Amino acid sequence: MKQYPCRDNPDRVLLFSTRTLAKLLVPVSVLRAAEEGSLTPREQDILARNGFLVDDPAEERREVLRSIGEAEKRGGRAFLMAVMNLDCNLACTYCYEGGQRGRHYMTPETADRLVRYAEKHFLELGSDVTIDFYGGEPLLSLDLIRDISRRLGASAQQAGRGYRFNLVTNGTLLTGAVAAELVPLGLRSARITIDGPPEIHNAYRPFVSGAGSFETIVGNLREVSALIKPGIGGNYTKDTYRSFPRLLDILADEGLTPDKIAYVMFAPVTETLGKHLMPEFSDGCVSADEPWLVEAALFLREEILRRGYFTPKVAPTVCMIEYRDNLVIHYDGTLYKCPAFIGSAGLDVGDLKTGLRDYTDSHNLNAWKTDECLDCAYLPLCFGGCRLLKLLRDGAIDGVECRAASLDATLEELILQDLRYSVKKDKAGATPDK
Amino acid sequence: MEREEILVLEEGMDDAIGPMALCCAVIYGLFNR
Repeated sequence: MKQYPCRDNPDRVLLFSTRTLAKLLVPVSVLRAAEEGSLTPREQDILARNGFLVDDPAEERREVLRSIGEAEKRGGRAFLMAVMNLDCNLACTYCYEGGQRGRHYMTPETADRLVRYAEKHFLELGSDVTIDFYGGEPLLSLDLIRDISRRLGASAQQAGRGYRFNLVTNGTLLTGAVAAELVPLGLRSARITIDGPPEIHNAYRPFVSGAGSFETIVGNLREVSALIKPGIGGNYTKDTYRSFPRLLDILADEGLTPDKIAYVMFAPVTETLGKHLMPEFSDGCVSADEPWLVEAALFLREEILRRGYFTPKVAPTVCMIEYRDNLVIHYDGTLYKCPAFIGSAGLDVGDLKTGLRDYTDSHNLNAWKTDECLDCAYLPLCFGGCRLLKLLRDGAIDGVECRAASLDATLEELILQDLRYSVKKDKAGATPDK
Repeated sequence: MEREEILVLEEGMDDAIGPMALCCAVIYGLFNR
């Protein structure tokens, strides 16, 4: 539980449950009554129902320890990220593939193994399957995406399960015609990256030829948004983030209004494991609590929400390492537990031929199951943080990437933003798309 | 004298964690291709 002063009324406090995400405005007199044990039954009921009064703290700890496994069971869905290639038609200055980039493509044989792996380990065991096709640029492997999706769609139907897929794409090849062909095969959404207004985006994300890619992407977005609701991602640096609100205005002027866009999420360019990063690029961040990042994240979130676009609310962030059925499949069939680990020796967790091996120790799965973390109010929001950032900072996944400093600096304002804009949306009768 | 009431701005959920990782790769942009 976190407690913040109420800015308009000193007689009340804002209570936020990091476990249930409940937000209450509580009179100070009620807090005093809770300490004295003189709450009314109604007060007791509201506080207990929302996770603020707990009968047995040891049971609450056990609940938190079980929560990820239970969420996965409830969902009944495996999430696979398939890295279709490490090639690209753009030449981004900070390319996340860096030194690994090249004409490396998934072969039809590996795609066949992927399909059979998904059938055997998920569909036939009663799970639905979602694949995020990823790269490089996944649409350079359009034939294989079609083939994998046709086969898994048919297998899912036969097993009485569901299959769908998403694209994580630079957006240059996702025309209306391509989307129209892929929707019947299971395409649900596409995450498209735009790094700010045209002059900035084109400097950071030009085509290999050097030409700007902004107009192509926005043109495609207009076509595609008639068929699916694309999400917009964007990578900013310390020098560019202040220009990003102008991108939102341009998108709205182009007809890409909040009702046509599933979400907008901007993120800082992050350092990747040393050997991957483009040698000439040095603006990436390695920590979640660098002061400029706190300012940039809050500023951009406010600008997104103010214009009526959806961005995720404060919610638990759980590393995919923690989910048994979340898996990254590299173009060569190697399995990983995080897209940032692809190609890194010692961080693979098996392959499509031999299956998954135990990664409990190599990925330090129990790092957050300590008294220190279990006593921390932030645990249900972070579950040990980002293994990549831990690895970058300390050279090994030998503990948690503690989020306390970053959440101390941002959580109150993030909650207030959520309250401000959900109230506005409710009044306007529009519910944010989730 | 009766105390002021608790105002529920947003109800809590028992299943706040989603079935899929909302991981740092999302938040830190590694999903932005």
